[in-house]
Amino acid sequence: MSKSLTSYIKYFIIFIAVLFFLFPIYWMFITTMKPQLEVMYYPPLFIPPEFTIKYYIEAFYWLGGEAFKNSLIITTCTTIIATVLGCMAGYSFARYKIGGFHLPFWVLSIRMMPPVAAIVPLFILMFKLKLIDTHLAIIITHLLVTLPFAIWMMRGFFIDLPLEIEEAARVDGCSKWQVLWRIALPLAAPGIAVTALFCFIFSWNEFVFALVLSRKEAITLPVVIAGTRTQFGIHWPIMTAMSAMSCLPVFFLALVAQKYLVRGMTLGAVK
Amino acid sequence: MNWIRKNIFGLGLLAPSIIILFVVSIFPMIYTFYISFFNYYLPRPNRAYFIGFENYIEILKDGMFWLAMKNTAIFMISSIGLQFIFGLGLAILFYDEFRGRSAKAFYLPLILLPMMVAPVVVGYVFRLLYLTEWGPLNYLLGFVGLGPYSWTASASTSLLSLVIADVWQWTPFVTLVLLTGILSISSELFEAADLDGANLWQKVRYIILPLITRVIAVVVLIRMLDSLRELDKVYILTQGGPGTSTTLVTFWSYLNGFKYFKVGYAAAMSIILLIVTVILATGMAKVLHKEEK
Repeated sequence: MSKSLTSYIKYFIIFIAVLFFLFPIYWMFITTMKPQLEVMYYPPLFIPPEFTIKYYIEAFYWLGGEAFKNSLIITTCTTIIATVLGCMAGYSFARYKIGGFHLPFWVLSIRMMPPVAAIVPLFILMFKLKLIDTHLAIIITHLLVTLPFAIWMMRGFFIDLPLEIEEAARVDGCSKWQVLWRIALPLAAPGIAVTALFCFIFSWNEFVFALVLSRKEAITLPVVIAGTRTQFGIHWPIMTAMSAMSCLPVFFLALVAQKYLVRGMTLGAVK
Repeated sequence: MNWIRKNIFGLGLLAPSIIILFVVSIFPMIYTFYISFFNYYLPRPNRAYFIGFENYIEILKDGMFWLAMKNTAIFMISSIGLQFIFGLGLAILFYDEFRGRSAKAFYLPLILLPMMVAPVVVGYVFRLLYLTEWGPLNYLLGFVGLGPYSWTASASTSLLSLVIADVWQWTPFVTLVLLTGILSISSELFEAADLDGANLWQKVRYIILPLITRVIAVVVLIRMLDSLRELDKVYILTQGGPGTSTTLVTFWSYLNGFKYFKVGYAAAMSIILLIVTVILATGMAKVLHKEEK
């Protein structure tokens, strides 16, 4: 009797928690379907008055499509570069123990650095190289966020691989390069996929560097979303449609990779 | 020399990353340190002149800096405190749920969605929720006889608004990490406790908390480092206002650099922030290093 009562209470609390975490996301999606006047409506509408993708189309033509494209280019390049270099450096740290624990941790600590500590010099550097408002400038600065993460993650994944297989391959006459390419990388494939997914999410959501380094040509989705205020007040349906456009790819990737989320989010600190 | 020849392959693999990290991080940091000793006004870089420690002295004398520090501290302590309490509670509930089951519950991935949302989007969605007259939050609070509050528009609730958005976004993360920590505790301990007739509180107090201290330390440190970097949500949600009620240190530094163009001053502030970061990161390195051994 009391057993079932506590389990009801338990489920009720979990239900409330899930509601709390999902409600703002739900609210965002239904606002994309409300005409501007109905956003300012009392009492607030908890169920969308109509199902329409009108505002997604408007958002797409009003900078959204352009920004989506820029974000996709920047994020894809960042992800590929960070993952490839992350695999190389991570393998080097894991197998050759260069710098012991402290050099890899120093690399990781770069990610914890407040962006404001690097942004002024990077702005001046990009200005002098005439790279302001180019994809390249944003890709380079996004490496500051993603590369240390990729290295640390891949180091963890390579440390977890059994050393014996690689040693056996060495005995059989494989070169160091072949061991990495033919044995370690295929074995670490799930880890590589997860690392790439997280690099994608970090770069996709990054705001401050993109804000400072872009003007018009290289403007990314978060910057456009942030700019909806200054353009013409806040046009809520378009703004939320653009926000939804920014959330959907990431939600999709996150659900695919949910098994590995903890490791990704905690930088491998907790397995 | 011999060591280099022996490790040439490893060094070769490492070199490109180290070069890139040097360009995007070490060089800027050294440069930030350098210009923190200058009176540097961004539109007129040629008129910059050396002023020694004056920026630092001015910052430490500036009431606004200390106010921003105070805001950051309040923000950090209250949001991390709430995330920890809710996170631990949920983690224990979920742990109860997962014991002896291999298939994870369907709602676990659902509650992870908040931390995937871009902070900019979180800021806007909460502005929408906080709308004084038309927002759902005040409407719902009206049923229990509270409010209406003006949330981000009033100095007394603006920091709270920021904390709520942060708690919403990061509690799932804290829950997840603590849950992983709890799941890694050997189940025999819990079985033994069950045999001895221990209740839930005793299990939490004598098994869970002592055995996940390190996990707690890591998660609190990660969140502290993140709070020190917090800028996106402030930028969208409150712009540091009303007045100075939500001006956190990062935002104050950003304003000085990119709005008032006092680059040297902003740089000196970043260096102070960096020192705090280094202290926290060193703590984290200690915890992690022990774990790896």
